[in-house]
This record gives sequence, structure tokens and C-alpha cells, in this order.
Amino acid sequence: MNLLKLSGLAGLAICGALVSNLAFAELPQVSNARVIQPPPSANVAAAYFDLTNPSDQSLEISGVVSDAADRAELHLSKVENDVAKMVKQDQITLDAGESLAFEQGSYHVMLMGLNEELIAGSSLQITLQTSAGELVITVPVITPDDATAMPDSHGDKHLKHGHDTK
Amino acid sequence: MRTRSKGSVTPFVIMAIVAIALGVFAFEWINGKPANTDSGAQSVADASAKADLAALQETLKTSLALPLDFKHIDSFSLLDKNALPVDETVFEDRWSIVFFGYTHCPDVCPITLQVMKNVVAELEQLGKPEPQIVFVSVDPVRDTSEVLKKYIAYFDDDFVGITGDQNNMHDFTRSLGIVASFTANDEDPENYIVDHTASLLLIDPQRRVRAKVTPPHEVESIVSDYLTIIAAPS
Repeated sequence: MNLLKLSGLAGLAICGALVSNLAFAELPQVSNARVIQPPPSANVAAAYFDLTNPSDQSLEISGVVSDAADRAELHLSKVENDVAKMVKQDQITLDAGESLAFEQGSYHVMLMGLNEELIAGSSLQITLQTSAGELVITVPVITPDDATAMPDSHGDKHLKHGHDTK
Repeated sequence: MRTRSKGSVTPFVIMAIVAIALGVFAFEWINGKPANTDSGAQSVADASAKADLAALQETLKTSLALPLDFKHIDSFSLLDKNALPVDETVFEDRWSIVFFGYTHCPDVCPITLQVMKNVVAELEQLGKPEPQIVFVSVDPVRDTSEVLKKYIAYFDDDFVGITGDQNNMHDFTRSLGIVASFTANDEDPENYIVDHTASLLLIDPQRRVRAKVTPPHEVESIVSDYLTIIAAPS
């Protein structure tokens, strides 16, 4: 409910302020949001989710913030020549109609300097800054066992934002 | 849902390359060492060992088998997760799977340790000898013994953790061909990133590096390759 309100507010804000150039922009649809509970001594965590850009325009994700951590960044993990790398992304583009999975070993929101221990069963919020406006995502914390047992079935909060930006 | 590799990549400043791979494991082996021409018998033995290795490789899923004389763990002096001295003897008398990583890594490292936990559980269920799992920190400055101990306990308290003096760690990882390169975070200097070798090493009870276990790290392939290699002639 909260999310609907928030996305509604985001929609109003966009209507009011940015109607001239973002009249047809739509926020991406989010599903399967989750963060795996990190070990107690870790002060970092990674948030994952699936995004779909439902509009006929490409969409830029240019940043992320979260109250759960001192700092949040868009990252891409990859293995090149047997070296595991994490590369900060200034911007991620979703083409019209494109879907993109933020998932283990790939794109993720890196949370650095956690403000409090993340415990499975709780949740946190992250806000993606996109060319269609801000997208608030509620991310449930799950256990590593849950993550390996059911990698694609968690936190299935499918949000529709299609009407918010009209 | 597909994953893609495009998207803009930040040009990050490389602050320091702390360790450089001495060479890609097995290059030497793949390209073939020059035959020993001093002794015909030796050549025959070499050819036989090579054939054994090639046969072993055929049966592996994601690992690269290494010649018995390829590399072994030399003497080193570091600290374990209990802040006690640890040296090469920790690798004696048991098989070990070694993972190089760091606790400020939110994505790949926890997944890999979770996989290791499940590998041990699977072997236990199969009634097979379990390897010792060793987590070596490529970021010993932030990963003190205390940090490492808590981190490892979350997965399996029996895992060995190795950290210690940064120079000694550098020598240790470099001797094994393990890369660790540090990337600065200009906006947040404490949260630097460490890129590191993704493969695991499989060490035999004589401290010989017997295989490089390449990603993706999945329980089934690691268990299979481990069981194949521990049963191989040595």
C-alpha cells in the first residue's frame, strides 16, 4: 500500500514538474526483490531484483540511495580472465521493453556501511533514480539457504507503475 | 530474464596492483613442457604422466587438473581466524579447497562460501571424505582475524580462515598465482574494491596444487571433480 502511495506521489511529482519531457516515461516494473542476509561482521550487502521497462522509450538508471546504508552504488560483478571483478556503474540503460535481472554474479545494488544488521524477515528500502523518476523498492531480507533453494521465487512484489506517470 | 554485459562502465582509478599472477596456471602444461631428452626412461615416465593427466582431465566438469609436480604450497607465516600463527602445515594430511576473497565483497564471496558449505554437506551425505575449506583473505588489512572469524562462523565454524601481514599475504597469494588488485573508491576511500582470482584451488595432503576449480562454482560440479581427483593416481 505504502509503495502504491509512494509511486503515486512520484507520479504526481512527475506530472507537475516534468510533464514536458517525460510525459510518456514509465517507471520500470519490479519483481523478485531480495537481499541476502550478510554475515554479522560484514558491513556490506547486495540487493537484487528484476526490472522490466514497459514503455516504448529507453530508460536510464542513474543512481541509487538507501537509508539502510551510508552509501549505495550500482555495481556489476563479472569474471574476466579468471578474475572476479566488481565495477561501479554510473548509469544503466534499459531499452524499450527490455528486462534486466539484478542478480548474484551480475548487476546489483551494493550497500556499503550498513546502518544496522540485516536480519532475514525484515526489509529495507532502496530508491532508484531513473529518467522516469524515482522508484522506491521494498527489499525483503532472506537467508542464504532461501536464496540457494529458491533463487527466483522470493519477494515477488510485482508493482505496476503504468498509470502513475500519465 | 536475460542478463547483459552492456551498460556504461565507470573508468575507475586503479590505485595499486598488489599482486600479479605469475602466470596462468596450466599454460605451461597445456602448451606442453619440452620432453626430457636426458633419459629415455624419464621420457617414458613423462609421457605416461601426461597421458594420465589428459585422461583425468577428460572426466572433470569445471576443473583444470594440474601435473603432480606443477606447484606445491611453500612455507608461509600468516594468522588464522583465531589470531594464531598458521603455516604451510595446515595443508598437510588432508585435502583442502581454498577460496580467495574478502569480507567487504557482498556478491560473489558470500555465494561461494555458501556453495562451499553445501559441498561439505553433500559429501557428508554421500559418506565421502570431506575436504578442509580454507578462506584466504586478499584484503588482510580490513579482514582482521576477528572479522574473519565472525564472517566464517556464519557459514561453517569449521572453515579455516587465513589473514595476517599484508606483505606476507602478498607473497603467499603470488606464489600460488593468485591475483588481488585494489580499486580505489574516490568518493568513499574506506570502501575500496578488491578484484581477485575467481578459481578455487584443490590442494592434496602433500600440499600439492592438484587442480584449479574454475567458475561458475556449483555444488554438483565441485563435488564431482573433487571426488574424481582424490581418487586419481598420484
